Amino acid sequence: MRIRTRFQEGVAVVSIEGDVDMYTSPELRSALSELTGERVPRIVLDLGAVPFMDSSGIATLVQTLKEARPYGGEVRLAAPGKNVLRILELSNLMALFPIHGSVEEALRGEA
Amino acid sequence: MTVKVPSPAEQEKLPAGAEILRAEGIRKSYDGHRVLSGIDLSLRKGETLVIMGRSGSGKTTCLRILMGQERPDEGSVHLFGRPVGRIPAKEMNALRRRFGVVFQSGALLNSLTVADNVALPLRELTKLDEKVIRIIVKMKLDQVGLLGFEHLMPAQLSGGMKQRVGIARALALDPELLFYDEPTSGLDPVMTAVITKLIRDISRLGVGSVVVTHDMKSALAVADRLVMLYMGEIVAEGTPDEIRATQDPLVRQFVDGRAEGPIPLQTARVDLLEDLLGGG
Ligand SMILES: Nc1ncnc2c1ncn2[C@@H]1O[C@H](COP(=O)(O)OP(=O)(O)OP(=O)(O)O)[C@@H](O)[C@H]1O
Ligand SMILES: [Mg+2]
Repeated sequence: MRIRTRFQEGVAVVSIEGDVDMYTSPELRSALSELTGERVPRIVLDLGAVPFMDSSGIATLVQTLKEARPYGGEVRLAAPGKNVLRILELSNLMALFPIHGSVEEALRGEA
Repeated sequence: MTVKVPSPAEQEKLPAGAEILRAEGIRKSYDGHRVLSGIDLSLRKGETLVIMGRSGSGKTTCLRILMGQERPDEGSVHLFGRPVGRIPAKEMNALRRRFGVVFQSGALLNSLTVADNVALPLRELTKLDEKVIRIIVKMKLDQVGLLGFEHLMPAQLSGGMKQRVGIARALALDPELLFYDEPTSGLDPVMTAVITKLIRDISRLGVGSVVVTHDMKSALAVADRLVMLYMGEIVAEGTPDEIRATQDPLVRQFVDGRAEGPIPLQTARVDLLEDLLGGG
């Protein structure tokens, strides 16, 4: 898994490439907690290149949201594939995250 | 040195129906007493195999061999395509993360809360941080209908609840395969139905399951395929419909739960007279 973070008009766009699983989640977790630690107001996770995510990946996203909410921060998901959508749905956590078709949409769109 | 083991993610890319478990020619004896004499089994991704058989017929022994907890005297087991018992311990440990085990009555640690029991494999086998682990624990307890019971101790739970916590713990690492050893024994019919439904729901997520059970109703409800162990051999194999329809007297006796039939009640290894007079 590879993680790249860039800032665009104050929004952190985190592009993830590869599987997010029990082995790789800790790395994603530290990247994201750094952002919430800085109180970044909006985090867009580009999931377009994530073929697979397990419970630890979902839990990492949920924890990021839990850290962002108290300061009014937002976490948006962009371009999740069908595997990622499926596990979100199976965990009954679909409603937690605004989901956008692309990073551009996530940057533009209202929550 | 890193050992190349396909990650759960790579496994996910296996086509549905890929073989995840294969046992060939398994033989096992204890003290010269033959328990398994040539067992062949296989399981595909997402499939549920039920192993039935009388008490003492070798079901648990068979499960332990499939999981690599016990060595067969002869024969081979492949888990996710890897030969169990012939791979380095480190690779076996990696393999172990890919399957979960549900024991009779949950086998929880009594000194730990429900949440800590479920968290156990996550704390032992991953580098996830505590906050993330706590969320996974909630997700898994939700999956078995026990969200909100995190802080209870096992002694405060009913048998059915313990069993569900055991299932949540077995699910903690998102296994691709689950082994259940008599998951409904000791439960009332309602709780048995709840656990049966849970096993089916989990299997629908694509998790392969090997279920040892005495409960015929539950067996027929969860199985894609059933095998019956008798005298160390698989004496019958079929889909639930085939098993229901069979005229094989051994299977009929089991399915109908009758005392009379070809299965003798006597299971002693030695004759009483011989034992008493043998001067042992
Ligand atoms: N470690 C062992 N040492 C000696 N004998 C053993 C051992 N494990 C199992 N056995 C014997 O092997 C036989 C099969 O036992 P096993 O526990 O596999 O049966 P089972 O089908 O699971 O029975 P149950 O339905 O009662 O759980 C029994 O006769 C048992 O006593
Ligand atoms: Mg047993």
